[in-house]
Amino acid sequence: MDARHWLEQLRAELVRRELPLVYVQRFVDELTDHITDSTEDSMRKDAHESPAACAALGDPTEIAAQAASHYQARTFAGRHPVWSFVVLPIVALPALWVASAAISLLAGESLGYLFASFWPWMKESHPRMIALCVVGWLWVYVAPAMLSAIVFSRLARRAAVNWRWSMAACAGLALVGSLVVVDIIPRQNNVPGTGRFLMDPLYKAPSLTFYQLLQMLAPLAVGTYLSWHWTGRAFVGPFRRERAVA
Amino acid sequence: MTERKTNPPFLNGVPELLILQLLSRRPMHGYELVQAIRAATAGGLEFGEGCVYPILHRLESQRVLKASRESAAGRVRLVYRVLPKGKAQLARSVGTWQQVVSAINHALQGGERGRQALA
Repeated sequence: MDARHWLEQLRAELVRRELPLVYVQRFVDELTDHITDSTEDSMRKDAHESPAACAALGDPTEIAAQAASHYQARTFAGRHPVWSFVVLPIVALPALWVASAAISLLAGESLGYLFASFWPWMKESHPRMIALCVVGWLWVYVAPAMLSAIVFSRLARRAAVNWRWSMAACAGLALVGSLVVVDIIPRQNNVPGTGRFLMDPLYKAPSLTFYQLLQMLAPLAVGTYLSWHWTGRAFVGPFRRERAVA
Repeated sequence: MTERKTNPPFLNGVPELLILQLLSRRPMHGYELVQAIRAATAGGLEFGEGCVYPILHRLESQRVLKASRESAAGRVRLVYRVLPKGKAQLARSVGTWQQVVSAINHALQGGERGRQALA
């Protein structure tokens, strides 16, 4: 196998294993230098005694597999994908809900006196109250799920694990999201409003509400888009993208 | 010629030890390092030369080594040098290796019960 073909095969194998393009380029550049040095060395010595440069390097598929294995070993997520992409999302999302609800309550309490005149205006109109409840639901329940999907997808990309792990994380987020039932009835006239937050067992799935469906689809949609985006192209840096060269 | 097997299983851990030992003497780029390994071991170890680079990159990410672009033989190359953390890791690895070698030699020589222990 000639050097050019060997390096192309190595590059294709490294890209196929979803390693960052910056790392792939550096790896290929170093091996190109290695092959050049080896060739110059064999020209100085007796060519019949020196092994072919590419044969001495080894099989490109095995080298790429080792590179991926060593790269994944750099991070906790790469070493322990089950903990990072199966267990952690299921635990993280409820914690994020509690945090966002707490922040919202604290902010509401802190700023309440500033918006004292705003609150009667809201209470007077049923549609305004409904809109406030929807915004509250999006902020407290949907936004954390979507943010978690982005974080776990990015974590999978940085750890250079297979895209299926990021989809597993998003599926976990979707499962937890679909179990939460949010039921808010704002105050009407002199009847106090009610709010319910409860977990709906899976066996009642046929009665999924619109809100449950959105809570389930939001992280799946984010995860699917990001997996397609980063598998079809190459991740170079936080905001730059280049098409992968196979 | 058939391609060399990249990293035989019994060599796990050995490349890191050799790499740190050789780089602690002087900074080298990848090809130099491979030749140094071959010379230092008198050709006694067969390995795919490409397997050195993933190990170098991992050690660099662990801040055991540092890579810098330097001019060598008329070309700019990535040259690796050991950091203080790498020297500490080398000292620990050498100690562990010597313990293992001593224990294995003791077992091969028959241990407390002499040659009969091997039966």
